[in-house]
Parts: sequence; C-alpha cells; structure tokens
Amino acid sequence: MTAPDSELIARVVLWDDRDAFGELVLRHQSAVRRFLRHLTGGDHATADDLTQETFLQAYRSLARHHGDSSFSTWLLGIAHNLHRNARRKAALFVPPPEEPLADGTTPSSVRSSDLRHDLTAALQSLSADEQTVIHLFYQQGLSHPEISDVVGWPLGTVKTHLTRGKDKLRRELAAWNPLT
Amino acid sequence: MKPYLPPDDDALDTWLRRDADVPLPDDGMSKRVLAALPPPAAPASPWKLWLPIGLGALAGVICVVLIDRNGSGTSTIESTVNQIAALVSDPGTLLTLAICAALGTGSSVVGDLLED
Repeated sequence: MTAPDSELIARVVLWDDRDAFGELVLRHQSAVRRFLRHLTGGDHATADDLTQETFLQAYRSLARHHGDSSFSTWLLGIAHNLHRNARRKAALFVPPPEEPLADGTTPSSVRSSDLRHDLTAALQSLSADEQTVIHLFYQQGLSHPEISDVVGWPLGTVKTHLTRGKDKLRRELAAWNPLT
Repeated sequence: MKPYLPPDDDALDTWLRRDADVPLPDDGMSKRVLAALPPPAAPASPWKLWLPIGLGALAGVICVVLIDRNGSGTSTIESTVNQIAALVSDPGTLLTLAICAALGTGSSVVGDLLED
C-alpha cells in the first residue's frame, strides 16, 4: 500500500525523511516536467533544470504547504513562477509559433502530416496564455479553480482563455476538414 | 490523406487529452533532485544537549538558595508554607523568581541557537 502525499510530506517536514521526498519527486516529476516542457516550448534541458529548481524550492517551503491545494497543483504553481522569473531574468527564448500563411493555406509538409501534427500546429497558433490553460486543463487534468491557483489569474480569465482557445482550435482545424 | 475533423466538442476534447495519461519516465530526475538537496543537519553534539539542561539546573539551584535565604529556617513544611506566603508578599522573592525564569528561558534560547 502506497503512502498518500500528505503522509510523505509530514515525514519530510518532521524528520527530514529524504526517502519520502524522493518518493514525492518520483510521483510528480512527470507532471512538472511535462508542464515545463510546454512552457519552454519543448526545451527539455531547460525544463529539466527548472524541474530540479521546482522541487528544491518545494523542499525548502514544504512546511508552508497546508494542503489547501493538492501537492501537484502547488508544485505546478511553483514551476510556473520559476519559469516566469527565469524568462524575466534571462530573457529565455521561446520559439515563436509558426505564422500561418496569409492565404490560409498550409505548407505542403504539414498537409501531408498526420492528425497529431495538425493539432500541434493548431495549438501553436493560440496565444501563450491560451496554450497554457489548455495544457493544464487537458494534459494535467486540472479544474478551472486549480488552474487559477497555478497561474495566478482570476477564474473568469481562465475560463475565457479556455473557451477562446477551443474556438480558435475548431476554426484552425476546420481548414483541414475535407467536408468543409 | 487529410485528417477528418470531428464535428463535436467531445472529439476535440479527446484529441486534446491525447497522451495525457502517459507518464514521462523519471530518467534519473529524482536522483538528481535528491543529490541537489542541502546536506542534512548534523546531530547536535552532547555538550550542546547538556548545556541547556545544566543552565536550567543552575537556575534551579540559584532559585532554591535565594529563596532559602528568605525563609525562616524552621521545619520543612512550615518553611515551605512560609516561603509560599513570602512569594506573594516579598518583592525580593518575586525578583528572584523572575531571575530564575529569565535564566531558564535564556538556557532554552541558547540551546535553540546552538542547535541552529
């Protein structure tokens, strides 16, 4: 039987149990790295560096985690802050999304690609904030209030980004629909 | 072949949730994080543990000696009763108790500082 996060957190806070913290890292590294890979535009090395820093900061401030949000949501909030700070400090380069062609057509290399590629291209046409909300909602499985906690935006802003993002995706992908 | 666009929201949701349940392999990330943690705090040395206790005991001795000076030197029970009565009436005894309390608190603070 695996111990819940709350028990592992208590062991780290009370007894500085490194094994318990290692288990927490093992459980949550995937979500944090996936989120940071998204934020860094797929820069795996930078994402991993920020992942390490996220867990170190979590370790230092673990006693201040009172369980009002899930540990995973709390970690993603730290990751989001660290990425934002890193971008401010070092002007972290995020590759700009590919600009769609003016006439609405798509490059031939894309035309021959599969659905996954088309969806990725459509996602890249969204604003960074819309992409982030869609990632947190669909890939991380967070609720609207949880997303609001992670990114620090009002709940209404989160819902607006999600709705607008999906509307844009439908339009972008409609161009690929042979029935339209 | 061009992909088929699903007509409803559910299909788009399904697309967007693709691979969401596939966890990224650890790839040594947990070991890397653990290696970067600050070193564990060293256990306090014995003298650091005994110092607060010693200071507390010293405070107790001083307390007893000073209170005894204010007592009448009679039998233990009578002297104790007298001393308790003196506690509430004699400013000197109250001052002594305050010194004892300060010493006790000081020893605790010193102990905490040494542990840090």
